[in-house]
Formats: sequence, structure tokens, C-alpha cells
Amino acid sequence: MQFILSGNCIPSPEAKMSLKFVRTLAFWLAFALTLSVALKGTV
Amino acid sequence: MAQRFGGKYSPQPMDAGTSDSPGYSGVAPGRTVTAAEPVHPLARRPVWLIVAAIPFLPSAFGGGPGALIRGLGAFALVAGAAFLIREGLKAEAAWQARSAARRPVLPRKILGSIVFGLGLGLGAGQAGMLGAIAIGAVAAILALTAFGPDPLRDKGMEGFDGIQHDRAARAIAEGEKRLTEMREAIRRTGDIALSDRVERFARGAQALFRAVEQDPGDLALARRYMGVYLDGARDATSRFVELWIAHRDTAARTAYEALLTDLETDFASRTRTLIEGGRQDLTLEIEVLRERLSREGLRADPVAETPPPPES
Repeated sequence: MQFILSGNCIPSPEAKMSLKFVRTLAFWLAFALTLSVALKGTV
Repeated sequence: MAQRFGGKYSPQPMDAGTSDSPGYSGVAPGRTVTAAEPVHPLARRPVWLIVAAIPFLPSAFGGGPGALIRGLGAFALVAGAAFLIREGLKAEAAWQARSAARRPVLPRKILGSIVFGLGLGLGAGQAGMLGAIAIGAVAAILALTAFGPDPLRDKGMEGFDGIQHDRAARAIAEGEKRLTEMREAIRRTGDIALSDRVERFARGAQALFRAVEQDPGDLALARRYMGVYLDGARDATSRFVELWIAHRDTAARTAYEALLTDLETDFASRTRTLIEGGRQDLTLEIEVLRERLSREGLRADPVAETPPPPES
């Protein structure tokens, strides 16, 4: 998993898309979590 | 000083070589591509984490010292984490762009994710101690997933002498610094054609850097080019810029551009020599290995391998 996440391999286009999706999703979740904690002091 | 607008698709002078060329033709033959630092596709994202953390700031005031420390501390930690992650992304892009590179000394993205978790844990005052720890842990995991871990291994360094590689890396860094100084100096003229000319020269020099990077053993052959010649080019650039700004000296411009052309040719020829040298090394290695295989009887005679002609 770390091998894939680190981008050190040459993944297939499907794997690339999945990785991009997972990263984008994780980023926006982190964004929402930050906003929620900053506004309410909790989630 | 004002500078004529120009970008990738802006029209360029027909003849970048002389200032007598009559304006712009509407054609974009040479494109001014500003160099050269690799950019990570996620490089802008960390800024959004700082934007999301802005509400920590107003809530820090009016609630007593505890709220102040919590609000400001959480914002500072999230902003610091975003900065660390951004630096980590830059380092990763540089690592990916090179064929041989050491892993970053400080794993900034991993560190940034941990600091991000600490920031949200500190900011989650209403959630209780356990809740804050849980929120911090989830935040760190999300950040690590969103930006990925840092490159944790050296790349393309097999069989390289570490000291030699460091020496080459230092020489390349010095060379890049000289190129940057040239770019900055020529920008003062406000002339896009000249900036473009220097940029083309810089690309030629960088091709030599890449050749040395791939085989640091070639540093001895390229050291004069990366040191003395680039020093000379930089000094000539700053003198020319002074002359050009003061007098618009066309003769100086012609001489300066001729110097750049000569240097460019020399750099290209040296790069070719280095690449040829690498190819010769490879051929030699292949021959030695083949000879050894045939001596040990592992390689079949090529004549015996050819299939017999079909019977008619």
C-alpha cells in the first residue's frame, strides 16, 4: 500500500485514478474536519 | 522598470538576435518558457487547510487565556503543518524529476501530517481529552492519505560513489545558482527577446547538468563548463545589462548574443561527448559480459541459433 501511495511504482491508469480519487477525498475530508473543529471546537 | 508582457503564446520578435528587427510579426516561434523548478500537482492544496483554519482566530478572543492559547496555537500548528507539507511536496517533485536523487533528509510531509493532527487536537477543546486525541489522530491520517508519505528511499544511486555524487550535486547546485543570477540580471533589461535567449542558453546548460547527474563520474570532464564558463557568462551578462540599460549599445548586444551562441554550442558538444562516453561504457560492459558468458559456455553460438531454411 505504501508502495502505491508513495508513487514509486508505475501504476495502471485505473490504479492512478483510484489513488487520485482517494487522495482528493481524504483532502476534502481533512478540509471539512478542520473547518468543523475551527468553527465549533468539535466535530 | 516596466517589462513588455509576454507568455507562452505571446508573439515574439521574428529575429531575437538583433534589436533592429521591426517589432512583432504575430507569430510565436520561440516560446519564453520560464524555468524550471518542478511543481507538484498537489502543491496548492495545503493553502486550503490554512483557509479552513481561519475561524480559529476570531474564536481565540473573548474567551479567556485558555481559549486564546487554544485558538492561536491551533491556527499556528495548522499553518505550520501546511507549510511543512508544501515544502515536502516541493522536495518530492524535485526527487521525481531527477533520475538519481537522495531521499529528503527530513520527511516533511509525514512531519506536517503529525503537526496537523496536533493542531486539530489542540483546537478541539469542546470534545474532551479522548475526543481531542481521536480528532487529532483522524486528522493526521487524513492528511497523510491526502498528500502521501515522503519518498523514503534513494533513487538511481546504485553503484554510485556517495562522495562523488555529493560533489556532483554541489557543482550542479552552484551551476543552477549562476543560471538564476543570469536570469535575474537579464530581466532588468525588460527585454523579452533577451530573457528568452538566456533561457535557451540555460536549458542547454541544464542538459549538461542532467548528464553529469546521471553519471557523476563525468564531473571532471564538465567541471570547467559548470564553473569557469558559467562564471564568465554570468559576469558578461551583468556587464552587458549595465551597458544596455545605460546606452542601448547594439554592438554590445550583438557581441553578448554571439558569446551566448558560442557557449551554447560548446555546452551542447560537451553534453554529447558525455552521453557518447556513457554509451561506450555500456558497449564495453556488454562486450565483457558476452565474452565471459561464451567462455563459460552459457551463450550459444549465434550461427547455431539461426533456424534451418524451410525444405522445399
